[in-house]
Amino acid sequence: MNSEERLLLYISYSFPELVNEQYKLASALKGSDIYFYLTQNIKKCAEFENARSKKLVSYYEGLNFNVKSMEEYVLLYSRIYFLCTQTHERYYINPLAIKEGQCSLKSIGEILFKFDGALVPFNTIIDRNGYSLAYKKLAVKENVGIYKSEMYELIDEKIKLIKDKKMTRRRLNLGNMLSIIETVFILVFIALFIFALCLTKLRDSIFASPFSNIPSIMTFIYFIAMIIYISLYVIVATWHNRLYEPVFYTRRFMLIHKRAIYSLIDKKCLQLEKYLNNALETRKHLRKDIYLFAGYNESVIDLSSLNILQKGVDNRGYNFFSAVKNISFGIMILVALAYGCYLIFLAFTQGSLFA
Amino acid sequence: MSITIDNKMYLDLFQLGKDISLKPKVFFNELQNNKELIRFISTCDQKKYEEFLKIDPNKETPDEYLFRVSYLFNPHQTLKYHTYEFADVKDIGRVIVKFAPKVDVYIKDLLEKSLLLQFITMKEYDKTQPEFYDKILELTNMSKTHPNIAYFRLGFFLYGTNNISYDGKIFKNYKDFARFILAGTELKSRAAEVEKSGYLIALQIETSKSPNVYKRYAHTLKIFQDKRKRYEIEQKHANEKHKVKK
Repeated sequence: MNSEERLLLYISYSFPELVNEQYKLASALKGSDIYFYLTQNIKKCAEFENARSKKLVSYYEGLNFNVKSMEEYVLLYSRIYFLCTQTHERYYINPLAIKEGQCSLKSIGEILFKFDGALVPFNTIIDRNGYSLAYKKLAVKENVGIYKSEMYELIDEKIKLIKDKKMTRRRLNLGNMLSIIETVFILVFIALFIFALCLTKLRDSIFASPFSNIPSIMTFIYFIAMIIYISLYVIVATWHNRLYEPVFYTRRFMLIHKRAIYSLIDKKCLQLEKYLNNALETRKHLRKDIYLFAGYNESVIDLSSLNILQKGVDNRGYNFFSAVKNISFGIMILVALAYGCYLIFLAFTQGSLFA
Repeated sequence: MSITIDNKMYLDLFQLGKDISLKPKVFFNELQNNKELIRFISTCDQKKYEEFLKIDPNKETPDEYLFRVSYLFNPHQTLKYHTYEFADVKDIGRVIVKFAPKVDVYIKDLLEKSLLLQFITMKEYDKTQPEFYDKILELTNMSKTHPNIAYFRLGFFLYGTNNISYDGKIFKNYKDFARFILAGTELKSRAAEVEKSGYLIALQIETSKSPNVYKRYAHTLKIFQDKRKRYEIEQKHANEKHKVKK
């Protein structure tokens, strides 16, 4: 920020109507080096399955360049600097939530810990004099506690996502209602056909001379329409189940292993705390240990399966067949109604259809 | 008893005190080296002589030293400092505003070194005009951290905020001046100068009679500077790490 911008800011407080430069300045920020640097950092940050990195990405996405005043412009500029700082790996890495080879840090000692009101690399805390060992251990406990709550938050978020109505069919919604109605109607269609076959007069005319009279033609049309519809229903249902299998699997996994995952996180946190306390006691710098507690892949199902699902749901073939099936369901209802009415008409015109 | 300095005869300390700040070079030298003058002071008033010995010329600037000595000898004189003589304290404001955005270092000294405060205390302003006294005290305190803003605030306080002067041009009020700064190329060419002088901030504070806008401005700027500083530290760290890797 230069002298001009500072003067504009000051004057804008007293006479906002005289200052309109904020729009131009804010849009110019997008072309600045600092914003470019931030964009690069955020790309890297978004690769991490980590509560803090997610918050940073969401904060970045929420940056509002449509500023109404010079003060808003300065605060936006400050936020960009803030995010640029916070998106350095040592600020947001959680050693429990990283995957092998993902991180450019070499050691847990490089990660910033909250210590005495400031953010300090763990290796620096080891060297820092003037603080008791108990005080440093307390800081370790506090920071490991943050990692633990972040991991809990991450797991809870996944469980919540897996329970989302878009991903499962547990909740009653329009899609689910249609599915239930379809199942009921399939039974009705089949029942109607079996009922028609049970009618003696009708059965005789169908099998004695097929396609030569109206009852026979009507019954065969009904039968073929029903077979087509049921086939489509089976195909689409099978396709659907194949697409949703990762979700069903993840949900089953989560439900069964939820407690195990939490206790595994607790265990890892205890191990990490012990490891860090040991480093404090021996005053030895930590080196090349960044992946030592990174058990993330083994313990928690990641969301890649859900991404596959989303791709599947967006699949054109599936959507086309699903639409055809829905249309054929409508046609099938009309056919069934027509056939039912015809049977009633026959019953009225010919007396009993059983004798 | 009398003494002649710079071709002028002095019969008592009152007369001497009147001229000390108006001829700084002469009197600073004489007060240090003229034994006859020292004897003259001790003869005239033994008590003031003792007080005079307590003022250490090495601890203060020559002007500051002379100011204290002159008011020790003659506490009833008008405001005088480094050849300047003001019949009324309010005249300081006229000089400050007239020559803005240039800062007169001697008038700035008066404020920064608490000499003006000392002068009005001697004149018992704290009893006769307590609000005026409090204001000078406030500006004296501010001058320790923001000397230029305090200097121009003093100017606008004493002179007023209407028909003010900046670089030879006259402006009706703060808004008129703000319009001028924002117009055309003025902002680009004058921004650094206006900011450095503290003129605009001083004018706004004295116009609104409240430091709230300045406080808000300082707060917003502090947020920005803190974030940028933190970023620069982080960037430096990242660069150093990169160098080590290479």
